[in-house]
Amino acid sequence: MKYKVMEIEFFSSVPTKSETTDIEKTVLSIEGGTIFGSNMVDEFLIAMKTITAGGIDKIVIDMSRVDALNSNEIGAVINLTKLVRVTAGDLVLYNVNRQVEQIIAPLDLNRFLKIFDDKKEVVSHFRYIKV
Amino acid sequence: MSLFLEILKLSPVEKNNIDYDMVVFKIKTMKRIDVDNSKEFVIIFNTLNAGGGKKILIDCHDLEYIDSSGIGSIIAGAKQIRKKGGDLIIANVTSDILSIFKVVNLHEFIKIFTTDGEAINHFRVIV
Repeated sequence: MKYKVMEIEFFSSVPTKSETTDIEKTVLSIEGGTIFGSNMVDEFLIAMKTITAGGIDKIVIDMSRVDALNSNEIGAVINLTKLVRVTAGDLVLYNVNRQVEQIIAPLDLNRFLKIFDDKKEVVSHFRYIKV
Repeated sequence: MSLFLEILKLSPVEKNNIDYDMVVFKIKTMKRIDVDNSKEFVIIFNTLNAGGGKKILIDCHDLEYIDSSGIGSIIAGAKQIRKKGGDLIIANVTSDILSIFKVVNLHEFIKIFTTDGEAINHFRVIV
């Protein structure tokens, strides 16, 4: 029996005076440090496939606490990105540190995935894709 | 505000063909669930339910305060998941929070377990 934890939160991609539960405007934010490096890709994919099937297709991963990515984890990120793009959503990364950049760059992953410096840029990105 | 989501496999699950009878989505609450953050629960319950999830366990170990909007979001989540033949249950409730749940008779609508183990055994039985 496996038991692993991922830290997530939700925010709206559009400015709103009142709290919204509109799934189409909701962005799922994942703390990458709770997923990568902890051998939980299967659990991550089960959770993400369920959540995306449930209608959320805007995902951001905060990479600030991630120091390395293995091939299995990179594959999971690519698969999940392809999955959300089917419904015109997107998966992006932000706060990527230099060690991870050195892993990503030779793979040209930054041509496939959008990578932002901070959350403000992420919010701006999601505000202008399909809603 | 962050939620902590755990995936518990009751038996091996293929990630390309997920058997939701074998997956428990355990959501660990923050210290407070109130009008400011209960929408996070509404979103996670809605998406897990719409995505096929059938078994949700709410771990209230850290919960110190819950208001009517928080209780309402849990009840709404339980109603939704039961429509699809699943269930939502609660575990690790402190005595203070349990006394609030009892005042509103929540324990008569949603099963409340003392430990994770008991809660998971419940889900094993209803597979």
